[in-house]
Amino acid sequence: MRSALVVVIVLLAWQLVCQIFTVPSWLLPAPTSVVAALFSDAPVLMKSFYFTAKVTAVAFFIAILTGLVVGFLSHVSRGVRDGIFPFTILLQTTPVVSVAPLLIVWFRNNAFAALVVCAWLVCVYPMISASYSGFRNTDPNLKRMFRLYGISPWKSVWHLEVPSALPMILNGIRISGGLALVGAIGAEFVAGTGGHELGLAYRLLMAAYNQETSKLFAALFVVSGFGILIHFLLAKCEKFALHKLRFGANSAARV
Amino acid sequence: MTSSEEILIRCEDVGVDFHGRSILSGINIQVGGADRVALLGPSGCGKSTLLNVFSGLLIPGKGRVQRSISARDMSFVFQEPSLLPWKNVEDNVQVLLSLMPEKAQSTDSQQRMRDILTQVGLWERRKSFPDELSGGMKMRAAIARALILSPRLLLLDEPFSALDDITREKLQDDLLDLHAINRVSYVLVTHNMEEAALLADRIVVFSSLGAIIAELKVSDFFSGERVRRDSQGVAAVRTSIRALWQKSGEESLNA
Repeated sequence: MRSALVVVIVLLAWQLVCQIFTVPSWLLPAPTSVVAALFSDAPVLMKSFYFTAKVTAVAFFIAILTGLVVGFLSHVSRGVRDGIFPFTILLQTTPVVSVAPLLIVWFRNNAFAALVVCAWLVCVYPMISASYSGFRNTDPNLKRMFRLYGISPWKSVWHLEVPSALPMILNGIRISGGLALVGAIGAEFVAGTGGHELGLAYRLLMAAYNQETSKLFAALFVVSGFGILIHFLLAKCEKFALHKLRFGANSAARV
Repeated sequence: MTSSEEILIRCEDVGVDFHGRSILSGINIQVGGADRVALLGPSGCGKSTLLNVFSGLLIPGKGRVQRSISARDMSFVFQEPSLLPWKNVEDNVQVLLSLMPEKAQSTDSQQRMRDILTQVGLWERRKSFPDELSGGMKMRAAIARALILSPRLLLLDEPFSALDDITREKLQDDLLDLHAINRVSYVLVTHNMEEAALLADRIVVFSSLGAIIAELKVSDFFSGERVRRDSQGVAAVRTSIRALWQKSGEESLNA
């Protein structure tokens, strides 16, 4: 409620500044101009939104799957952990813009795949790290008990390690979701879309080239709104799941 | 030196090394049916390691361990209750049982659940989740989880050390009652001399180097029934242990 009030105050102040000081619209359009651009550009923005959302969603789901698999394998096998470690460092330290040209060469005929890989590179590391840490978070005493009673490793994983890892995994999913959009937009900036479909980053670039700042703000509004929506939905899912599992509200921070 | 003819576990000249450092050396000990044994020594002297040797979770590098019971006839209670936050008391208590169908079928598990939860005073709270329980109740639930498996030997790894004085004394009394009812043997790891004197029939005193200095028969120090505080017997045990540590060059413990 308070943040909504702050948003309203900022928008009002912005509108007043633009009107009182007659700020040129190419420099800072008034919120009313942005809303007008949002409505006039709605069809193209929707199409671009759909494309960017598709890249984000596909990269995000692949990141969740690969993160869970790699995190789990790193937990159960020291060999896998040691083997994968240098690559996870690479994922963390190499900017996606420097990898994009290589991906364009490799995926010459499939711009969508290149964008998905770029976005995946940005959002997969938090997922690997969260799932690995989550599985490591299992109570060692309970693992001893399960081992003492000869309970099979798969039963231990399903009944003990997976639920124990869930708070951190859900935290990783929330972080990864936001980064998937960052990766998708960044990838579009660098790699383009191959001319077939045009994402939100293309709308941002074109509006900037044409000095149509209202349209730039409109596209930016859609990108930010999408990012907030992803964060909000994933945070709600995380809170709901943790509540159901009775890990407590602060469990993600705790673990 | 055991309280009955039956030997559950016998260790002969057992030694454990970890990364080239000796944790336990020359350990000769046996635990019999209905025995109450306390392993007393400073932190890091290998007491918990010896519990792992007893259970078979750790194979010693030296010596021989003979068991007349299987791993499934033993049960652990740890310093932390180690309950699953997503399960209520009842489900926590039977989590291991439910994963071992052969154990569940061998007893009337529902009746046994009722008996044990009544014994530990948690029958009324059987639907409560761990986050709704006090520290003492959580530890009682952990004890119930150990007892539901009908163990012949309980391995207690400093189960009361993280509790406040009042709860600790109550749970110590509960343990004595449970032993009187179930006649289950237990090995208690502790660094509290009074606790060892009250709960055990035999106190195995360790040096900080992981060797057994002496084995005391507690009844030798008490003329009548054992009572908690201001007892001459407890004071005599304390004096005797301090003398043993002093003789072997150990620093005395603040217990």
